Amino acid sequence: MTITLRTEALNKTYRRKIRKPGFVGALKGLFSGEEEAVQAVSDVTFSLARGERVGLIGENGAGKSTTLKMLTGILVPTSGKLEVLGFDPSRQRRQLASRIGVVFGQRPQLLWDIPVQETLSLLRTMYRIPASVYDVTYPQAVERLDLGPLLAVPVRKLSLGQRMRCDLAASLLHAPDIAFLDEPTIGLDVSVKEQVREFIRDMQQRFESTLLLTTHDLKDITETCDRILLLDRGKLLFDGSLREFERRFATKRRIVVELERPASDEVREQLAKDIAELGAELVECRAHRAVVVYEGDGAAPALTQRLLSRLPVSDIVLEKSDIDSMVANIYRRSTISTEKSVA
Amino acid sequence: MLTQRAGEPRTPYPNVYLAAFQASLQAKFEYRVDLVIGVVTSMLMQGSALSFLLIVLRNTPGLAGWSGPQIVFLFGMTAAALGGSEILFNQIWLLPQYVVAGDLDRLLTYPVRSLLFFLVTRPELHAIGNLITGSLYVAWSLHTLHVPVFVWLMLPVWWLCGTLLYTSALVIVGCLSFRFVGPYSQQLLIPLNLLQATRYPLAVYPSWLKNVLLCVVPYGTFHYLPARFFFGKSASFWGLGLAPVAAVALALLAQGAWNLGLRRYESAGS
Amino acid sequence: MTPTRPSALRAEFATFFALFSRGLRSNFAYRPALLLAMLSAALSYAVPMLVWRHIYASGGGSKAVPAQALFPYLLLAGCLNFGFAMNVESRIGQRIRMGLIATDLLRPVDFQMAQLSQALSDGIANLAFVLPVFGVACAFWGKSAFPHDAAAFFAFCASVLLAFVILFAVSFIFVQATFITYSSYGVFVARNALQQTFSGMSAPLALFPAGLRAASEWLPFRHTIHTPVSIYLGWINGSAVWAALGAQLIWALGLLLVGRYMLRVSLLKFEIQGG
Repeated sequence: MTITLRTEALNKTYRRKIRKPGFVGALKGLFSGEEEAVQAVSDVTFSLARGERVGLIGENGAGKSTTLKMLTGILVPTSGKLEVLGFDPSRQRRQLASRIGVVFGQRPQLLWDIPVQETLSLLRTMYRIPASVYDVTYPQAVERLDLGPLLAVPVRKLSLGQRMRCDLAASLLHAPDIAFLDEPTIGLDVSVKEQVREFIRDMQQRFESTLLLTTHDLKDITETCDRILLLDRGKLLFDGSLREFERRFATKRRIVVELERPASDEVREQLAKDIAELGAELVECRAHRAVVVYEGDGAAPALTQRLLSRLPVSDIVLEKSDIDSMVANIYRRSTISTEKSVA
Repeated sequence: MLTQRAGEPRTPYPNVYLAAFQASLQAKFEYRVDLVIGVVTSMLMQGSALSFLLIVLRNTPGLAGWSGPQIVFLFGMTAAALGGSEILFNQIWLLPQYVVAGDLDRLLTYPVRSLLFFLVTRPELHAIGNLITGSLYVAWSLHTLHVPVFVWLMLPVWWLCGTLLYTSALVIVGCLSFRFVGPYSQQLLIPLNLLQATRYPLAVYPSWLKNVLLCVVPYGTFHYLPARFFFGKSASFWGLGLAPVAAVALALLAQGAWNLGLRRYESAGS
Repeated sequence: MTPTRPSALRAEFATFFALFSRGLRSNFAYRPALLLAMLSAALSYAVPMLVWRHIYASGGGSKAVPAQALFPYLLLAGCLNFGFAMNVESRIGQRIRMGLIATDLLRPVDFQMAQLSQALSDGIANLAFVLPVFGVACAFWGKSAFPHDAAAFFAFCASVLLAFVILFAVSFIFVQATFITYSSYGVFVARNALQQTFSGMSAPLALFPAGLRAASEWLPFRHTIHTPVSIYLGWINGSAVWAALGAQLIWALGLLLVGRYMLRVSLLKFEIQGG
């Protein structure tokens, strides 16, 4: 197993100026210069082998993009060791750049006001892509991402989804050894997301590239990755396969119940005591909704029975543990969506 | 795994920068009315500067021994260098906004020299007006004063040096935005104003300013010093050849400032 | 678009004032920008001053304008010019370019007046930063840098306000070229070039060659710098002051009206490009 990427105790601290609000604050700001340190990434250590497909997840502000930018040489780490394809990203940026592909989902910026087709040819010159590669990647990209009608259009006239697709194609045109994709499906329609995931999977397989993908859409992970890295407030909380993730965090399952009318306090208390025997917890019982969280598969039928007998139920959903709820559980927030999970 | 491997010697991509410049140029041609208006207005700007010279000359026969046509030579070279820099390397003016918005990310993922690539990808075609006006002033001046032929031959060299000097000064000052992040580009007016100052013979200025314009930001080397020689004001022909040395030195400083700045670059978002 | 009820009028003025004070606040937000702007401005105004200093020192110059009057003139002119960076072209130009101008005119607040409020806030904030410099110079130059008398000072203030309005109105007219061009920067450069040539920024009109002087008399630009500074220094005094202020007022109102009319016509004639 060749290691393509390795980090050790990676740290990144930002310095932020504290701005006070209001007119007087702004005047004060003219003369003082207080700063505070924000630790974006804290002691992160992991390594990737060639051909691995890894998903980097976490809340906003967890440090995913910062990590990615350090790996690609855009940001300089505050401390720690970092090696990508044998290079130090910030010091050997150009050498590394010719062998990696990067996509920024939130700000796709193909640099110029020129048609997509010309941007792609320019990139061909830039990466010195040999015909053997270009003749595969270019037609593949055009076909699978439906770029045909977009080729003659200047980049600034494209919609977000169109720009994303072009950006993706542009970044993988040179068949990079590692593809870093920062939220590649954000803001895209569901059908386009599918298209993009397929394309990524395909290119990865074809060229045996390593894939590091950050995303909020956990379906991206389940469909394209084998391994998960979970960042929370700059720290690496979890590093393992998808299976391990499910095993470790999928302990709790939920039953969501819609009520015809609010349940009285006594009923609520009684119910809570009742289901506690089965190892379940009534986490929510508001006006028209109740949520029960429990561990273990076997408890489901008995719990359902109790709920149906005690509460004026109009609808009941047994949620299968999916990765969204696993992550939500990790952060201890209740997912407000009442989406039925896909079995 | 079909791209170039590590271990191969890193070769520069000259044709990438040309190709990028050309592509960006093409994009600009779309706005043809804009281009014409821009050229005309930059010529207006140069004309306006010249009007001050006319006011001056009405009130004095010459400045520090420099006659009207001789000063016009300085005007012309200044305008031409300004034009050259704005046509080729204009994007430096947008650096502060790019840094604030964290928009340099994409540039840093390309296997190119980031500074050069950044500079050439937004040509300012209006500056053709500056180049044209400058060339006209220079041509008129040199013709009227009957200078030796070698002066005409050396003009492109001096022009190139002037462009490089001005651009390098802009880059060095522009890199302050990496340290003082904010969406303003007022600081870039300082190298511009210093350049405009060299429209007049440096002898007019007090010595502290003269030294700044000859040693700190050696603008004086690409037009003032050579002119002193071939207008017969100075016997030292050092003046003719200092410009390339100064230009290269300042350019190296500029690259260094950029590299330092990139290490401080913080992008946007987390 | 102009309100007819008094309370609506008050509301409109309240909006203008809010725009004005917000503009002032945002001008304080970026400290280095301000300092750098002042530094670069100082540099650009220093150049003509140094040239004139050399001229007068080597015996040139004009009897009509003695050296001790010239330098206060130039410094004050420079300060005013610094104040004139009101970003009118870029602000309005952007709205025209992005097609927002059409909706702007449908708002209950008068577009031109709202833009004027914002521009004035920019201008006055700039002036506030730069006039202390002039104050310091007064300490050095003594009497020649002081206002001619108290009346002259008040007339000067009024004249400066009118100067801002005139410059705004001129920019407002020029920026409408953005309907046919794309970039408002070229427009700004053109307007700035005319302003710098004919306003008397680089020298009092008395020093101008004949042709240039004649042109300056006919254009509004001299009322942006030459007129206010002349009032301050007492070159225009007595009843001539009222005549000068009157001329400024007429130019200001006239140009504002022309700008409004042109905008209406432009919107009818030109296709608004959507964003």
